[in-house]
Amino acid sequence: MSHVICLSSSPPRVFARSPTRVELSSPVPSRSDAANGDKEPSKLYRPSARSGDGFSSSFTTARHVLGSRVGAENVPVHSPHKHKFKVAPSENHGVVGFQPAKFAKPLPTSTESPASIGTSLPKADWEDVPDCALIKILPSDLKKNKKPLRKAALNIKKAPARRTDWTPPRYATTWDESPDSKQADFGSGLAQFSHNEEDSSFERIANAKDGELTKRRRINLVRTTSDIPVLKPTAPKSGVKKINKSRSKSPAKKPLTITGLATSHYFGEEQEESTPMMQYLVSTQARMDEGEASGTFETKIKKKAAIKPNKVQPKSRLRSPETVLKTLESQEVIFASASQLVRDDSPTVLRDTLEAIRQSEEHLMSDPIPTQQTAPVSVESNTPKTGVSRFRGRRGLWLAADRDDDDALLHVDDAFDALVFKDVFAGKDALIEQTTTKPRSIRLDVASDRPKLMRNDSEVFDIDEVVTPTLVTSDWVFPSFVKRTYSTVSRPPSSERVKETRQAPQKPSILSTSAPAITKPTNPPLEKPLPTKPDYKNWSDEDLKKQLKGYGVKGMRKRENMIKRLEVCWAEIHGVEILPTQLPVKIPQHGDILSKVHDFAARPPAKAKKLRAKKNKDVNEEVAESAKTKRKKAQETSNNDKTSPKGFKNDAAATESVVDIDSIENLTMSDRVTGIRTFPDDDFLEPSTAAVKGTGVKAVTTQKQKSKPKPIQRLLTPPPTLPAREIPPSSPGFEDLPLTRNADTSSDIPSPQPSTFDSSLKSKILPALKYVDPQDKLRNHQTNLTWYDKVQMYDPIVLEDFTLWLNTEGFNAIGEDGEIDANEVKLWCEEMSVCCLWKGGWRGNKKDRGGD
Amino acid sequence: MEPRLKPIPAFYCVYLLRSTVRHSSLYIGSTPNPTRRLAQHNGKVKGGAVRTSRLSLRPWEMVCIVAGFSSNIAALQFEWAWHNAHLTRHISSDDRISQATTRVKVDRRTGKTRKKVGRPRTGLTEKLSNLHLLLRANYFGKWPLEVRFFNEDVFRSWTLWTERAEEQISQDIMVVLDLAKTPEDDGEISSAQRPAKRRKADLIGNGGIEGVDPTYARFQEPLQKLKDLTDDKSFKAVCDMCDEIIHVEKDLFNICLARGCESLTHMSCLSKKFLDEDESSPLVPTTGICPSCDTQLKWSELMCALSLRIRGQKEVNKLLKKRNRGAAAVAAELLEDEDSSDSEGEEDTEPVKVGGLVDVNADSDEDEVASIASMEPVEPLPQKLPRLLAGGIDPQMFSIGVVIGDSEEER
Repeated sequence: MSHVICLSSSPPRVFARSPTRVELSSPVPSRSDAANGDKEPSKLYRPSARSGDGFSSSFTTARHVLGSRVGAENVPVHSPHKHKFKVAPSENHGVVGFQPAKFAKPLPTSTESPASIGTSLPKADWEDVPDCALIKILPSDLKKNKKPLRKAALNIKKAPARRTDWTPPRYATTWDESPDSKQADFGSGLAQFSHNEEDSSFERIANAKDGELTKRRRINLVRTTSDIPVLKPTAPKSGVKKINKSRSKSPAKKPLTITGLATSHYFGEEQEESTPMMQYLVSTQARMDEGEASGTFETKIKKKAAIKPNKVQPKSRLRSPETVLKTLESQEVIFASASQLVRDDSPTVLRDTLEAIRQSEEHLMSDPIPTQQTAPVSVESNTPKTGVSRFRGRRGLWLAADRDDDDALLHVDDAFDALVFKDVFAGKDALIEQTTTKPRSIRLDVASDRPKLMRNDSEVFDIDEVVTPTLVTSDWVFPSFVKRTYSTVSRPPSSERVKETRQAPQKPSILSTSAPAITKPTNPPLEKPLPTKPDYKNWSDEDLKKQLKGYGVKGMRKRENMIKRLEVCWAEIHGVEILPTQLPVKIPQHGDILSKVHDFAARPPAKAKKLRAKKNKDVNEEVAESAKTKRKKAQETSNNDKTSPKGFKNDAAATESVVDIDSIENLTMSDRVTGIRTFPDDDFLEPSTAAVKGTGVKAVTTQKQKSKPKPIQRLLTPPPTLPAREIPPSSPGFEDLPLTRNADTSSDIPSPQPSTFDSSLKSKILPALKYVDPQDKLRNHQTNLTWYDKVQMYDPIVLEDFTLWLNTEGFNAIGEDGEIDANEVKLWCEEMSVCCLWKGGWRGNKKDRGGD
Repeated sequence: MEPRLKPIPAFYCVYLLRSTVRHSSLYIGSTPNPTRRLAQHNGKVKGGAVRTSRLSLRPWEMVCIVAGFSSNIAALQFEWAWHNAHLTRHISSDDRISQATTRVKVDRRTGKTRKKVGRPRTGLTEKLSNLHLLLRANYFGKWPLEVRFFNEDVFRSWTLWTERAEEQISQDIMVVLDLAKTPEDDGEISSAQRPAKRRKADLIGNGGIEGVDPTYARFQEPLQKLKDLTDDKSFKAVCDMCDEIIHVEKDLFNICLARGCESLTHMSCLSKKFLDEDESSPLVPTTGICPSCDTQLKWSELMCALSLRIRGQKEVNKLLKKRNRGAAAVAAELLEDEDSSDSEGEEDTEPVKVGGLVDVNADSDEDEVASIASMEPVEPLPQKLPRLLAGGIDPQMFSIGVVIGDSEEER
């Protein structure tokens, strides 16, 4: 028990005041008042702990100095004798004199002695003071008690007036050591009277004083800091367990901060979670000790990663490193800010967030002066330091996390990244390509291979070798590793690569990234004969129309238009011919590709109109588009293997390999490294590079040509964030069109491009509407109303839908090949008195179309 | 969008409300049940509009309704156009009577002035002339509307205006002065019926607002007729026009609404016939003659019955449950049912029937004129309600909320 004694030379003025009856009077007569009419209103004294007097509770009066029994009333020192002030049991009522219940003292405890009173103030502290005040009034009572304390109290009689303003703190202000005993002391009548006060005053003391309470806290703090050693792999995990136990005692706090909320989901598992995580971190750190500085990555994880608890949580908290690693692999790492984590714990949302972050990162990266050029070569490149070099502040942290101090892309993350990030990107399935169809059980082997992997790290490895040699030694080949290793055609053997990165190698990196089906050095792509572009000019109109239909494009009136369109289509599908020769090709940036991938998913069913618009666009955009389509195709096949949304799980992912994201990353990185400046907009490949790229793309196209144009298979497991879109059955061949290639897909309704719309078509709406398909009889007319039925039944016509129908089926049926703008349709509806409305309300979803 | 799987509403009207105390106070709203709505405006039933809540202006009278809207959307569009006659595109700028006013708003704090387009204050004549203009508009002009006046003065103003107007509204739009007939008090009340119900039944069809039948009761007879036909297993439905079999389950077909006529026709056949008869409208017929009984049929009524059959199974069942004692009696019963379900706090059919749009601008201040659109999805409201409830708000509030959702005219 520690006590604080504050001495002040002169007491605060307030203490000098003597209480008047008025001051003390309470509207409610105290029980004792009622009992014997005694004037003593001791209960009405304000507790000293209250700061109403303007004094902090640590104030003391001069009586501390003056008297041996200083009225330490304002020092809320914990006293073990709080029970002294408890309400005396009801027999007190029978006491002859007035015995204020609060001050009724039970028998002195053994700790109290007259000697101690003078010297150790807090023990006696405030409870004695009231006695002084009461002395006159209750002599008999005091006598009864016969306490040595009483005598001491008598000494204070010198300055009784001083105490008058002082109010005895309720017993509750004392530090309660044994709540149970206190309970026992409560008198039934006054139980509520003092009980409520207890908590608040208790808190106040706790806050105001560095007393024992805080001491206890400090102990906790010490313990928590001891977590760190615990997390070391060598440290016994039982330590963690201990903490858990101690934690479990204290009631769970309701999270108040966003971070708290975010982590609250994981709070329960936090302790357990941190272990595998930290284990991993430490293990990677160990690897770094071997020469790879991947510290930022870990720190990043440490800071931001919230690990989704694996479903198969082991019962025991103690886990072997193997298990831990295994768990780690199967865990989904979600990077997000705390608020994002709070907002939605759906993994896809977070995944998307991650995507977005990556994209924006990419923007930052497209900084004309690569940081690598400005950053000095870090001395610590081979040292096991974990932090990012402080010279590289410009770099996005996320990217920094991916590289070592030499700006080389860390392949350490292969084992981790390939597994985990594959999942992260699983939603962006275009990025995932199926390479092997290894049975899933192999996954377990990976985990067990991990230790080997780390063991091998004892030698100094090149980053690339970190993965591959291990895999070589293991009898099982990790498909994604292989893939990764060979994913970039240009990548030299790994050890050279690092050198290269330092020496700014001469060889420009190859744009194979845009083509996901990468040519492996060991297994060069089969050179398929390139398809020759048919000479559309020699075709008959009929053939042209047929071909166009095959592409899902509507027939056109003008022959030249058809030929043009066909050429565009052909180029789009076969991808390439024009690319290397005609125009310099923009290096697809990571962000671009990502966004395009996303667009593709979110894009509406292809329409011929889009093709038209395409004419105006750069051909180089088509490159990316075609590449995208190819990727998509390739991905579709891989997707077919996924049978359920669970396909996003690692198990499924294990059979696939991540190619694009990383290789794209590699590309951009190597671009930097090799000094190719990647400007977001106007940077083009050198011819040689372009040529290489051309072949790479070609290789892909040849692959693609093998597969006949099929209808786009909707993803079996579309990421939930992607808007599910219906494929209108009426557009048979649209699947083959690479089509829209930029973000203008945002206008999924016919975007008003007045030039492309045929205003004369307005007159054709009525025939189109009234046209009756002879085979129409079979359908259920009651459930599948034709548009004419709807009009006749006064259904409000949704203009977007109606326009879409007109531009596809409606005009097709009557042999019209034009397209009409929704605004035209609206005008027509208004002329015809057909109730119509915009889908998104009158205001419209996207644009203000004006008018009501 | 699968826009409406609800049948065409039995009744939907846009109304003009006038304060009986101060005749210059006017209000435009829309409702599927004018009687109930008027009671709401007058504070007799919960769910009135803020703008009509001033006690000094009550009671309000419904001086005129434009009825026959085939959907709530149509009605709300008309309401908005009427309310914002200075903005609507359906009135050409040459014809426009109400011009937008510019209001200068001074920010009290900053002292800055802002110019805002304001809705002009319009009197009865302007409202009526705007109504006339709108009914002449292409868009609304061919809708199966009818105009009913419940006040002689207003009707007089209307006729005065129409005489002066250069152009007349379509002949298909019926304009009537529909004053309530004083019911002959026969003094005896049949013991079989409760007085209230009896009173309602007497009022329906007898003019005035109370005479409006907002229910599907008028379709009870044809529905019953059709049911009797189709219940007979041996019955083969054949189109009177094309003599082909009508597949009752999947074809769109009409049954003549005339009493006793059992003529069945494909919708397409009948529509073709009607359109051939009446060349004024190339797309949607307005009226036509039944091929069997030569009764003149309104296309809108036929469609209403058809949509009721194919989309309103619930309503059909309700209707068929009632004994056929005439439309007025059935309507009174249906209204009674509705009222009782109203008083239970939640009415599940009406708010849905009303659809997803609410005109929030109908009774709001002049500020919103700047915003062109008048519709806003009503979804937020139902979402709010549970929250209100969760917040421990008086359950009364909930019932108010429901009524708000139900009374689609304004928030």
